[in-house]
Parts: sequence; structure tokens; C-alpha cells
Amino acid sequence: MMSSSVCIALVGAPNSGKTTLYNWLTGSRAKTVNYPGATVEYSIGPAALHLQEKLSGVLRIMDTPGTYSLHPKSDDEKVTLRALYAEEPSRKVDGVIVVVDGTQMARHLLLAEQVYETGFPMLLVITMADLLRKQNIDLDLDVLRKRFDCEVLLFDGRLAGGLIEVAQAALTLKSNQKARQISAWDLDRHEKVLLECEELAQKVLSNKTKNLEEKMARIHANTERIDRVLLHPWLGLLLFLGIMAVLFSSIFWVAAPFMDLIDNSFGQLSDSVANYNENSLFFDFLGHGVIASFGAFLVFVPQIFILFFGIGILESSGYLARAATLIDRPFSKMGMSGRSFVPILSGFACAVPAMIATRNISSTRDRWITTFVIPLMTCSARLPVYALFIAFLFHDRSPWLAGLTLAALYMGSLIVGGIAASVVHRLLPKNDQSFFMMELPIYRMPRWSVLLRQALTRSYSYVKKAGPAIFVFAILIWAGTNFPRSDIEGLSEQQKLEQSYAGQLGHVIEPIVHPMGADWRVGIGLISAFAAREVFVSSLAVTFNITDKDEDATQTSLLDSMKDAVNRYGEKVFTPASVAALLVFFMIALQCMATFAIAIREMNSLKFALTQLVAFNLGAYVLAVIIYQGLSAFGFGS
Amino acid sequence: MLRIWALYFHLVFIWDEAGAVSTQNLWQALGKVMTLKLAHTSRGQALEIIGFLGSSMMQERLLEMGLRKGLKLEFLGQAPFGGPILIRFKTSVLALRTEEAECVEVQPS
Repeated sequence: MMSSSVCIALVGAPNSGKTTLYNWLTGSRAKTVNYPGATVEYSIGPAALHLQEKLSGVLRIMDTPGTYSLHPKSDDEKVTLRALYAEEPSRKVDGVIVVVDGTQMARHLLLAEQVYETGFPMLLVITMADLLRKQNIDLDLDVLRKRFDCEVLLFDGRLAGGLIEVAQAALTLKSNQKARQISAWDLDRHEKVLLECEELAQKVLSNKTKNLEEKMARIHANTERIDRVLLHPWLGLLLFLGIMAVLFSSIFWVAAPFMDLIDNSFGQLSDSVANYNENSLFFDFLGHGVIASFGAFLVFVPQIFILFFGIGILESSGYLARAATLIDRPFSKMGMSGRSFVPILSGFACAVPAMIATRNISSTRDRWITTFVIPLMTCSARLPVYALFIAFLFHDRSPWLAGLTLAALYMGSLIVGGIAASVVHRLLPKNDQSFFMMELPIYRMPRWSVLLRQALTRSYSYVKKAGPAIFVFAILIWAGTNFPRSDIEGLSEQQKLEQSYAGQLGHVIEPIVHPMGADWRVGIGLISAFAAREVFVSSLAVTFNITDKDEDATQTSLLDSMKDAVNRYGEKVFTPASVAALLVFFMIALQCMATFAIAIREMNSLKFALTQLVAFNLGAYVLAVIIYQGLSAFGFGS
Repeated sequence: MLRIWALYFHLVFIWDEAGAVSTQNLWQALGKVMTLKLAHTSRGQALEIIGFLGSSMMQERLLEMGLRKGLKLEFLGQAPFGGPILIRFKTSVLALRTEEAECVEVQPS
């Protein structure tokens, strides 16, 4: 008889190999699901095609957040519990696979005991089987089979050895009775169960293996040796900074050619389409609107991909836990935690995936502060703006001064971020929910194909999340600079722009931006930057090329346009003072609708996102004004 | 009186070669509880957990990570800036914040 669809939940500790098993079982068909009401994610996916065709029934797998216990103390654990007991037919769990790391058996068996208590049909899968086999450690699985009255299988995460057996065993799990609720354990019972698990693990490992301790020690030997260096009081820190430096420079050097490629091809395509029929609004829309907007957010995908790939290497090798340990104390002083490391790091690619990554931080307060300061990290979108201004300031001087300024801007964003976090840390009411307690896993060689696929998936999901917001607003900006179009015959390009909605808005805000050294055209650029920061550059190109060049088509370089640009008073618009002010403004201000939208969603609070927006933009404005006025007073204003 | 105490501390903490053992004896002599936070002196030192302090949620978390009464562990070091304390027990390596280590009562084993 063909069994109907079976949905099996995977439960296990973080680092237990659970997600690896999940990825093997589902191939790339998994879909991440948001449990309604929570922001912690879990995934459900159908079995991979090549696997499914070998099975006698339809198999669906649910991955849960890594947890050490089913007793809910944090959001992760609550979500796991709710997912297990869900009643909706599409999500109803028929059975549970408990994933146990073979090298950490005693602790992980605790979870198995809890699942056993619930009465869910269960299957025990022991991972890291390859490590054990290499040391000739033979497991006595019958001990476990007897204790938990279920099937126990070995799984090798590297080559997926044992995958089909796991899938086939999973299909046989089907319950007729309702699962019991979890009962809370008091501390004594908890301790008793832990002791029993230790004895159980000891039996499993040593019944069939001689010299167990020696062999286990060998599994951990390399890790210990490496940790003596990587966790060394000052050498470890130095190496950490070194590794970060390598990661960041590779983001630039490796991504740069790709980014240029995308930028140029989209630019050329956009222009050629728009110029196909010069007087047609439709073609202008297609070229400068649609195509340019696509280019606007696709241009920094290479950078994001490389960052995700780098983080993936750190994560799967096991180094990430060490990095989090090294920076936990400084981060705690600022109100965050060691676990904030990856989100903050991701913020240097783009704030959108970074804010989503904060879901791993269990303390709500830590998460709040981390999410609050993420937009201050210099994201990829700011780079075109920085590049333009730095080129303007230093293009006929030594290039290393330009590099220095860029590095200073990055450091600046870290410092401002640190200050902002510390301030918010003092202001928010304290609670004692935060805990760190991190397990340092064994160092393992990452699997490059898996990493590549993971980085691609994450980059793709970023495009899906941030892309639409950016695209929509870029189109809006295009519309704002091209409408209203009533009696525009006979008007020069400059006049056309001035009477457009964007131009009118620019004039309205000119008195506001004047103190920081900008005029209405820069004002339009700042507004456009709300679509996506790099739209600032293209917006400048539009406003300055059109307004100051007249019919002179040969002078296309924006830099030259900027050098000659004068405002209504005849003063130069772009001076070292005003450019410095603009740089600082961009460093701090939150000008990205995508970030704003994601902040609302992730923190479930419009108030949070608005506070962020107002605080950062106001702070940026004040600082920019101070810098412009100050530098002008010292003679940099011309 | 203060100077005598200062001398005593000086002798015990700085001049005594087996300073580690003296420190622990001193703590016990003063009737103070020695927690994991205070027990670190040298890498490789063997300790045994004799009890827990702090909230029941903290204790439950510590238990879930595998820390129980009677467990023998080895002190590995501390992260810089007064960061998390590193310990090894059985086959696991754990990093605990000082606030968390403060909840674990230990004695040399």
C-alpha cells in the first residue's frame, strides 16, 4: 500500500550536523518558512528528487532551529515546540528525527530523552560517523535501539553515506496516537537524566571499542592544537583582525571587476535603449527607468555573494564560534553579544540580510541593539557614492590617500556604530536574559560545493527581499524627474528638470540642505538615495549633466561637471568642505527604503524603524552641517 | 593591621610558587565560595563542579550544556579583554561568560 505524505521534523543541537542532513535530504528544494507571529525561521521541504524517486511514499522534512532542549526558554525553543505540535494538516508532524552528534553523545542524548517522553514516533540519527569510523570507533547501536525503542542509524555528512536508509526509515514513522505534551523537569530530574545519558553514551561508545579515550582524544587533537593559537590572548586577536582584513580586501579586489562589468553593461544597455528613440517617453522609461533600476540593485550582488561565501567558510570550518568568543566581551560592553558578530559583519555587504541574520541572537535586548546599529555599517551601496567623492577629492593626487580615506570611512562607521550601540545600551532598561554559553565545535574542512550553493541561495534571497523595494523607488525617482510633462516644448533640459516634481521638491528642501553645503540638485540626489544609496550617483549624473552641459555631448564625465558646478549664488557646489560633509552624511544617515521596510518587519515595530530613521538622519544632518561650516571657516570651502 | 594583611596577601599571591593552590585554600579558609570565574590560574588545571548558584533558568541552561555536579573539567584559558572562560570536559569545549561562570561552584580535583 502506498503510504500517504509523511512530514518528519528534524530536531537537534546547533552544530550537530542537523542542517547538513536537512540539506542532503531536501537537495535545494527547501523553502524557508516563517512561523506565523514569530521571526525565528524554520524550513519545510520535499525530499530531493533523486531521493524521492527511490522511496515508496512522499516524504517532507521540517528543519527546526538548533536547540539543546525542548523546554522553552528562548524564542528558538518556543518555535521548535510550536512547530512540533502544529495542528494544520500541511504542517502536521508525523515523526521526529533526533540528530545526535556522535562526538558529543552524552549531551545530545538529553534531547532524545525529551523527545522520547513526548511519545512522537522517533528515529535517532548519529552524525559525524565518518570521524568515528576513521578512528576505528565502533558504536553499539543496539543499546540505543533498546533504550528508545526505535531505529538508530549512522549518517556521514561529508558524502551522505546512509542517506537513503535514513529517508526510508523516516517514511515508516507514523503515529496513531496523539503526542503527549512536554512536562517540565525540575533540576534534580534534569541532572539525573544527564547522568543516565552519560552512562548510555559510554556504553554505546565503549562496548565494541577498545581504547576509547585515546581515540576520542585523537579526534579532538588537531582542534586543540589550532585553538592554542587561534584563542591565544593576543595572538588570537591579531589573527582574528588579520582574517577580517583578508575577508574585506577580497570583497573589494575580487568583487570589483564583476561589479564594474555589471555596472558598465547595464549602463550601456540602459543608454542604448533610451536613445533608440530619443523623443519617446516609453523608451526613456525602459532604458533609464526599468533597466537602470535593475542595474541599481544587481550591481552589488558580487560583493554580497563574496561576503556570504566568506561567512560560510568561517561558519562551516568552526572558526565562527571562536571569533564570537573573542569579541564577546567588547560587544557586551556595548549592549550586544558575541553572536552579533555575523549580523554586524553582514551589514558591510547589505543591511537587509544582516538584520535577518540577527534572528540567531537569543536575547531580545541584544538583538534590538544589534539591529539598531546595523545600518551604520558601511554597506556596499554606499561605495559608489564614496568612490565618486573620493575621486573628486583626490583624483590628481596620490592614490594611497584615496585608499586611506576609504579605510577611514570604514573605521568611522565602526566607531559611530560602537558609540550608538553604547548609547542605546545605557538608555534601554536592562534585563538579565542574555546568555552566551557557546560550544566550540571541532574544526572541519568546509565543503566548497555546499558553501557555493549556500552563498548563492542567500544572495538570491537578498535579491528577492531588497530588490523590489529598490526597484520600485528607482522607478519613482525616474517618474519624479520626468513628470509633469505639460507644455515642455521649447524648454531647455535644465528648465524641464526644474519644473518636474523632483525639481520642485529639491527647491523646497534647498534651504534645509544649504547649511551643509548642498544645493537643490544635490538635494534631489539625497531624496533619490532613499530608493537605494547608489541611486544618488546616477541622480547626480542626471541633474548635473543635463543642467550644466547644455548640448555639449562630449563632456560626459560627471567629475568634470561637478568641478564646474555652481549654485544660484555663483559659488561652487562641490568643494572639499561640502564633499566632506556629504561623506559624513552618507556614512551615518539611513537612506534606504529596503532597510526601513525590513526593520519594520523583523522587529515587528514601526516605532523601532522610525526611531532609527529619525535618529540617524538627524544625527547625520547635524554632523554634516558642523563639518561643512567648520571646514569652510578654515578655508576649505572653495 | 592593614599592612600585615597586605604582607600576607603579598606572600600568598606573588611569592608562593604553588600560588594556585594557596589561592584556593585561601578562598576556602575565608569561607568564600570559589566559582569558575575565580578559579582560573593556569592552563590545564583540573577542577570539579560541586554546586551551582544563580537563577534556575541559568542552572537549567548549564545542565543542558552538560555541566553537572561532580563533573570533572579542565580549565583552558580565558579570551582577551576579560572575555569568556574556556573549559574542556569529556569531549566538549565550552566558552562561558564570566557572569555564567560565576554560577558554577568548583574545587580543585
